[in-house]
Amino acid sequence: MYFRWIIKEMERPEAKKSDGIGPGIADIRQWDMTLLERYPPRYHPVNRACSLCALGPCDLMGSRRGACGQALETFLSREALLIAVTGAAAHAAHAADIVERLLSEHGPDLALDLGEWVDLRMPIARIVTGVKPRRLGDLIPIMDYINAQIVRLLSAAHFGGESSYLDMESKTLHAGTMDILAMEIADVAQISGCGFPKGDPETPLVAVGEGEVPRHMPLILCVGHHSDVGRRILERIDKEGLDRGVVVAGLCCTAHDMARTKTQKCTPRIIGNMRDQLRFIRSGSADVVVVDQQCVRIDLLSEVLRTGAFFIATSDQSCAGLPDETCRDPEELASEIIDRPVRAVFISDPDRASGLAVAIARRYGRIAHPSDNEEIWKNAGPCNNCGLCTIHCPISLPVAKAVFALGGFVDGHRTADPSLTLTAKQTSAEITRLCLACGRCESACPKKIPVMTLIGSSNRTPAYAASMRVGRGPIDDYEIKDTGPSIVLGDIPGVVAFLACPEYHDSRDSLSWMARNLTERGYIVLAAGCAAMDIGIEMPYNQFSGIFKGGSVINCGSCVSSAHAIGALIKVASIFLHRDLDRNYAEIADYILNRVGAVAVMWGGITPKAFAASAGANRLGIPVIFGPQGHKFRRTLEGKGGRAPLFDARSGKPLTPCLAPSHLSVVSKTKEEALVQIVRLCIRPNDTTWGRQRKLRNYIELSEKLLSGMPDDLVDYIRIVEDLPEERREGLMHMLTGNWQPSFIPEPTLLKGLVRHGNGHNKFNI
Amino acid sequence: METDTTNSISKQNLPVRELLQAIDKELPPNRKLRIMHVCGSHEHTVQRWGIRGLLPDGLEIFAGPGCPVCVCPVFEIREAITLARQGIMIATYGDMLRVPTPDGTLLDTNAEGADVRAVYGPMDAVRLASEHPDREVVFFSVGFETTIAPAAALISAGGLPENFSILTSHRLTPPAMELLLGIGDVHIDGFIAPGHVSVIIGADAWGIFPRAYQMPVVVAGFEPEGLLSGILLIIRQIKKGIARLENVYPQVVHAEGNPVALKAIRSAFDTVPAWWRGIGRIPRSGLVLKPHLSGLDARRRFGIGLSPERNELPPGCSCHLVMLGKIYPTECPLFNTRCTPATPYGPCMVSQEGTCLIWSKF
Repeated sequence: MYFRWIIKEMERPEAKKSDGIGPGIADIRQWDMTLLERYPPRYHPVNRACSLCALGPCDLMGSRRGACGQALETFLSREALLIAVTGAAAHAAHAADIVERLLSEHGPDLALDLGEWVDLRMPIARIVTGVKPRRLGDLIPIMDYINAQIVRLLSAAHFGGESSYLDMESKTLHAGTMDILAMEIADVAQISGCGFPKGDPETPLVAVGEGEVPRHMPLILCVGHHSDVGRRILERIDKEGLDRGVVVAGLCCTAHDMARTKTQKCTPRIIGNMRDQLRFIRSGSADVVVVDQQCVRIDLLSEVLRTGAFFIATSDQSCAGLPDETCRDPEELASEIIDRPVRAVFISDPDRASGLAVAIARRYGRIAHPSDNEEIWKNAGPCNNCGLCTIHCPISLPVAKAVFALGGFVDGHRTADPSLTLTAKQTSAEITRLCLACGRCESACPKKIPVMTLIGSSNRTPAYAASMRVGRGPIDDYEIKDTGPSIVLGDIPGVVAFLACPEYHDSRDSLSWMARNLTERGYIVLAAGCAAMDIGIEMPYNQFSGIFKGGSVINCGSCVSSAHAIGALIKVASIFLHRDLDRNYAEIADYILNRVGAVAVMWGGITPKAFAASAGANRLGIPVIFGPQGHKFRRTLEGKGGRAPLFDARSGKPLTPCLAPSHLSVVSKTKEEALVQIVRLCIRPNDTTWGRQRKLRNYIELSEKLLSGMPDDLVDYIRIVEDLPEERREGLMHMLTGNWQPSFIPEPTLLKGLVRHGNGHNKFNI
Repeated sequence: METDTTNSISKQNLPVRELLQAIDKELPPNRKLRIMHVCGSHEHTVQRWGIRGLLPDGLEIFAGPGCPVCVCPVFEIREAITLARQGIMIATYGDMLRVPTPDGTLLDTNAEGADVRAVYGPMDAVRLASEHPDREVVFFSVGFETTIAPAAALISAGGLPENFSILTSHRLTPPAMELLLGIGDVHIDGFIAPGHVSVIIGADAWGIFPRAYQMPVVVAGFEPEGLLSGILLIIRQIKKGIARLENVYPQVVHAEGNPVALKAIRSAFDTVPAWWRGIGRIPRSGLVLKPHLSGLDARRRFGIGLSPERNELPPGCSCHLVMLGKIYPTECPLFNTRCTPATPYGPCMVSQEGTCLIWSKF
């Protein structure tokens, strides 16, 4: 077992002694500053007045300072830190919940087992803390460490806290590191404790979308991020033989993880992601809604109650104002809840909550009610086409037009026939395809028309249908060994991870459009979370290999499984290249930044968790591309044409200008722009000429096709003539005149300490 | 790029003593230089003549992936074993017979009753096929460019017996060297390029390294003088801060290589990504027979095609680190203890070109 030996060697206790679990807030600061020098923060103020203390609001326009002495950029970096810490806290709480529950279920000696071919189990934990967890109990000190760091990070954002905006950014990156570490803990724990797939590239296919759900049986819908209750519901239904009488479905990451649960009979349905919550609830399809934590709409309780369904809150992070009835007997509770004015309870015990959900479904069957056409016609009646709903739509959909048409208005006159007009059908179908289902149109309507309900109910055709492989979890060590050389040499032009939320500003199939274009060009596409569902809309996973290789499409799993996508890149640096891992953060990050062509795309990223994960990826040298909303996270990290010192480790010579990768986080306005940006940000300084040719070929072809022109910075990526794509070399040679000088393929590093100056620094760095 | 063969060294034929003095004199002070060669024969020269011990402090010469037998992946040897067990006569180079796999060695298979023959080259295998017209004979063709050429020439000549086919396991050297530079984890200041490979592919094939990587390369022969001349020229380049391709083996190595051999190789083989034992899959580093030669391809003829092994090396074996130049054989805990020439544990202890065997012998 050759691999085993390598990994064991790497895991040898004397590899790196640590003084307790670290690092502290300032321990990776030097790397952060190096990174921030190369990719300085660019701020995108949403608000220029600070109201974070009672002396505010302080106007920070121009060179003004606030009552506490802070300038605008410090304020904006503080806001960014607060967003990132909130996101990290959410994932940390999620991880803590999972670990806690599994500890009570299995005890601390449960082995952390990610499958036969995953010996390097927790690469993020290794490079950050130096700890090599082997059993569940080993995760507890790491969780304690994360919690302590989050408290310290939050304190830095307090009045009179950190004064330097760059240091604030360093702390934001640290929050990001805590976020991805927490995600890794969460997923490794649940894979080991819940029997989820362990790096299997051929996981089963599951249908995604409400069209797959049988309407004649009661449906239990689990919403949120923590699949514990959902998993127990599935097991209970299996045990009670109710699989032919009750349907279990999930929304968002809970659905992801329920699908990863191995059950004998009951297979959970995946309705979709966060974008589908409101619409699906209002369709009246769900009879019992079980809510856990995170990414749950704040108004979900009232929305559920309006359909006549039952609501069960299960997490202390989302009690929904309901009395705690954990101590009640589930059967007894089920018998009386029907008569309550508010059919909702808070049950913090997952076993009892699952018992209650199943008991209600068994006892009352189908109970929720959707709207019908007659109601649509009546509800839309008051619409006077004022257009406020369209104005308030975050992505400016023609909502008013649809509502007006649904009211039966044709050419300004209301028809007597309540059946839907063709215009109404067409418009509502189009809106359903693009709608984020946020409900802002409704709160803007002066006539109180339930716009979302109208549009959702009028469009019975399933808006969303996709096919997805169940999340496989980690990429195994052997796959990395197989593919690592091709990635580092540029033969595989890049690894692109689609992560985060589904709130895209454009059509929902934009992710699959990008993914398809990338796979056709040999990129490896990884996905996790809500994005993993949407990739399957137009490119079913079964058409692509699930093995980590060029042209494959891989679903890692739920939101927390994003850690495996990031971990795969760390593995490239460790398994194949024999780099030391333990607390060797800066060297590994430097390696990924300069040698591993990888990009993360958070096209619909809107939540603090998405921002925190992006910060974690950035600190590891992985560029992140956001959709147009990304600037609302307050800052991006954009390079400035080789301002920062990149060195050739062989000679120690500074390499300027060297633009690859040109940004660490950046916003793209359209999917076309994003696709070109992806291929551009996958370029790395050490690409072989063959690899660089392949990457530039993609860059040129996509720029010409999608942005109507040759990229204006092409010449910056040409080191020697052989970098130009062979078939176009002759035609492009004219670019290599003027100031262009041939350079060479360096051994790139941002770390001066890695410059050898001929002293054999890493001779035996195994 | 034009290969520089006008250097004074190749003309002067300096003796070893003077070359060593020149190296000592010209070695930049306060620097540690590491020069890699990628050829078992060079390592043989280094060890046999004790060159490593004669070099001054601050200069190391070390071996890269220069042994084709060592890098031959387990699954390809298993394919040969599988065929042998089906009653097919396997003919291959002697070194291949003792390479250990989880299924044992080809020699073990022979002992079990299969028919495995050691040959000096493909012509011997063809002769075996002619002598045994009632048997299928498969030539397990392993090696770098030097052994690819005879196989390609044989195919080009045509007229092969119908019972003859080839199981290819050919590897190309330059992609492996590019990988070493790409991964950036091995300190290399210059390359000594293998003379016999260069006879086939030409010195210019190494031109990418000085041009694109600013890595000095000297094509050298296998006598101590040739090797030391190469080292001296690399030191001079480093001292001057330049990187270029030089050839101190002009007697047999020409800039363009052997055009006849290259033409034969191109007409018989396609370049593909290939597995290197213990290293991984290296893009554009392997050769397979072209589709129109499928009748000669043993994999197609007999319907075999095993997948790469997940356990390429036996437990504790450090051959991959030796092949990448990350450690010397003596740093492997198994060297000359559990792993000896008589009872090789890893592939580097088997082949005459294997670094461990060479270190063990000298």
